[in-house]
Amino acid sequence: MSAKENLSLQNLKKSPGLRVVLLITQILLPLGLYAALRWSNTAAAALIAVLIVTGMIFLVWLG
Amino acid sequence: MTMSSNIINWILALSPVLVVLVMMLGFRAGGTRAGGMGWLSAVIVAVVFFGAGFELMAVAHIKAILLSLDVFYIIWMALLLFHVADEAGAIRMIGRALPRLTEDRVMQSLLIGWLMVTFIQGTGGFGVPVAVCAPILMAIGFTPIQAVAMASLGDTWAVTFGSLGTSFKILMAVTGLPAEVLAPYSAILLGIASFPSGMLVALIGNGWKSFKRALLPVLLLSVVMSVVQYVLVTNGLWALGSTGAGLAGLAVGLLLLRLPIYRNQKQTNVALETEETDPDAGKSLWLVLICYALLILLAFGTNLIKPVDLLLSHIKISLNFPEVSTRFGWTTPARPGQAINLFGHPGAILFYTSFISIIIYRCVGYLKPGSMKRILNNVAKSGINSSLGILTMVGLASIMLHSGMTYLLAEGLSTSIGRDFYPLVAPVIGALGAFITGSNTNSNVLFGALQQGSAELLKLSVPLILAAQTAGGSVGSVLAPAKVIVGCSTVGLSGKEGDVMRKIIGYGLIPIAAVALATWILHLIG
Repeated sequence: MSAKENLSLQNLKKSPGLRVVLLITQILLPLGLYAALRWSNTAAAALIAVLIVTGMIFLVWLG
Repeated sequence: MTMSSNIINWILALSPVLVVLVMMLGFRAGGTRAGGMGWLSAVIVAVVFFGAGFELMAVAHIKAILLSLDVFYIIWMALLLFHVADEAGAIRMIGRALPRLTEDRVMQSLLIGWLMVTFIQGTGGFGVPVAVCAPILMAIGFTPIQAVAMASLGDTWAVTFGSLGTSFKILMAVTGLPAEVLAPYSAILLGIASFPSGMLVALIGNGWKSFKRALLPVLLLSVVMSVVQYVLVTNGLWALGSTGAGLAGLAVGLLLLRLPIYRNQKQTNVALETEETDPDAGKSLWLVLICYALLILLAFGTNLIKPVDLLLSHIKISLNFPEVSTRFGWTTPARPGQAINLFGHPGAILFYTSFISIIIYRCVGYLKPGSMKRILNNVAKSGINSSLGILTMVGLASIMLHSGMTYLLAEGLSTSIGRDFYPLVAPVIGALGAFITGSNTNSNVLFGALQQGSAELLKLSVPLILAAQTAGGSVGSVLAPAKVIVGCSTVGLSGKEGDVMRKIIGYGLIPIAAVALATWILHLIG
């Protein structure tokens, strides 16, 4: 990885905007999951669950 | 039927906690990364080994979000109050006023890191005392890590009867035992924990050389606070246990400062600004401290004046959850999730305080144009990282709870220890529950009944074991990563929580050991 790419990756990791988006989605997605479960929409629930786990993996990478 | 309690399952149940500890202590990871790793490992262990299905995991995670929102309400509003006070100059002015009151570093650390923390814990909760006092400790010259460690360890003994006795109230509710039965031993054990708590504050701030100097005031203050707390809680005023103890401690502490021995120490290393460069020149210390006076007034008013309490408690947000079970039969009954009391919440009290303080500070010119933008920017900057960390930690705790992992940990400990040594382990179980969940209250909810059952089975004193549970929980909650994250948020240590954990985890074992030893001795005495 070039120094430039490395720098932009570091900037991305530090970006407060990205963290705000992550925080909001990690709060809203489970509420969506609750709605999907209430309406017995299994496909939507599974999709949201995948998004939550993906978000968490992204969060670990972000640190 | 639940998972069989063997060593492999026990280690598996412990593994998410171990992941968090290794990440934070070994790799100095921040709360978000460590919590996220712990969350992912909890998901894997719960699904693969503990038979958690999709619905259970979903319910656990949604409940965690509700609980996190409850905590965010406190953190964001505590940050708002802190930055309003900071912008008005309160923290700087306390930092300069305290050395004038006493130049003794040991007494300064005890006053803020122990006595004030205890007093604020009386009405505040979930890390508020640490979030408020750590910046003040920094302002008088302690490093950020020292500041968080001191305020955290100073809080270890005050949690059970703090937050208007919430943790104690829950202990009564889950065990069905009245305050008269539970309060005496609880007050004794917490009182014993107050001594190491105070000593650790002095030692972390001033090193081992301060041991002899701290011994006498800490002994005196811990006796005063313990006796006041004992008298209050055994006379039905358990909601005011920590508040009363903190007030008595502050009063005696200030009296001690009148003794020449505590006034004439060498000057601190805090650089005093000159009149020309001082941004707070002309400000009144009493007026600038009005935000803290308001906080105390509103916290008391909204909790103790019944009609106000009822009025503010009208609107609560919650969701109902179905019963969920693992494949191995561990069942979590259907019940509503965490209810968020929109207008009577501690976060709301902090908001009212901030709002009124902003108006007052603007009227007297303590907040300059552009201040609000700076305040909101600073709140957002420290709030986001802390919130992400808490989200992961609370999620991890909820998954462990719903899949039966937490219960298995406590059950394994309690069944493998015989009658003679169970009193030594009871506080460790309380501390473990609080460490995982970040809350003395949650630890009592989780393990109160288990400890009661174990004590009855082993023919031990039930009040003593339950007191050990909640005293251990009090200490363990302060050491929890979720609370450390809150403490770090106001001193610019977001993302460096691992460094603070390294500092406090070893020291934190001392009050737990003191409680364990005291429980054992009380058991032997009978």
